[in-house]
Amino acid sequence: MMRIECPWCGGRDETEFHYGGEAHIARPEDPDALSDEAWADYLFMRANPRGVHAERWMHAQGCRQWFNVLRHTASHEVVAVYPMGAPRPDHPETAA
Amino acid sequence: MAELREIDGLILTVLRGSGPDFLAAVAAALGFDLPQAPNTGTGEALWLGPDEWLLVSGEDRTGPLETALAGQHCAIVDVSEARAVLELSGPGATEVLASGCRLDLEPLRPGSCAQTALARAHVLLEPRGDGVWRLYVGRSFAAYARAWIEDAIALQPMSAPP
Ligand SMILES: [Zn+2]
Repeated sequence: MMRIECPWCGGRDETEFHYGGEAHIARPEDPDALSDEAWADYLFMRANPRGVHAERWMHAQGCRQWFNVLRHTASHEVVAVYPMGAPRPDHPETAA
Repeated sequence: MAELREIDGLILTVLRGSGPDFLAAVAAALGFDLPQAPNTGTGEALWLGPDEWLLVSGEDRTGPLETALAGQHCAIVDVSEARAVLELSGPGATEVLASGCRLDLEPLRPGSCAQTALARAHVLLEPRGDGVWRLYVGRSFAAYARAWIEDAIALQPMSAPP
């Protein structure tokens, strides 16, 4: 069981949250201009690091707000919580 | 033994909006300020999110709010039929809740509230003081929540440990 620090409600159990996939995937400005390969890359290709991963979470059984989390995929340690729209914080273990 | 009862007749309104104009208009219409700190509430207005509140009253709030907020980007929804209001009280009420809730209930005092899961069902908890808890549950979960709580009451020890 992970504990996640909701920026509004404080620390809560993982089961109160929904996972929203990798963070910072920007929708292409002009999808029509993309090759099939580039579009598929946007839709389907995601990082899968053994280490710190930037991802979106939503406090579904609480305030229902979305936010970003840096989580270590091996230890499940939540190393940072930051608002939607904010850049990914620097972290020593961050391998981009 | 703890006791569970359903409270009928309350008018529940979900109010959404943000910004100084919104907050000022709401305060003027209601006669009090909306709570701004997460997980706080006055009993009449409970914080649900940074731009969302549950209003609890004996009278319809939607009319005055619609007038006060005309032209503003906001949502005013009567959810009286959508939520069941339960009240759990008596000796061991907090222990009954704690047996199905991972949230630490000890620090919760009147003036606070918390949305969390009770036996996996979404619930808004409001401590009313003296070990009395008000629970706002989705109507479709109410029968389940009631049955679960009645079971949990029956499973509590008859007397408190020394
Ligand atoms: Zn929250």
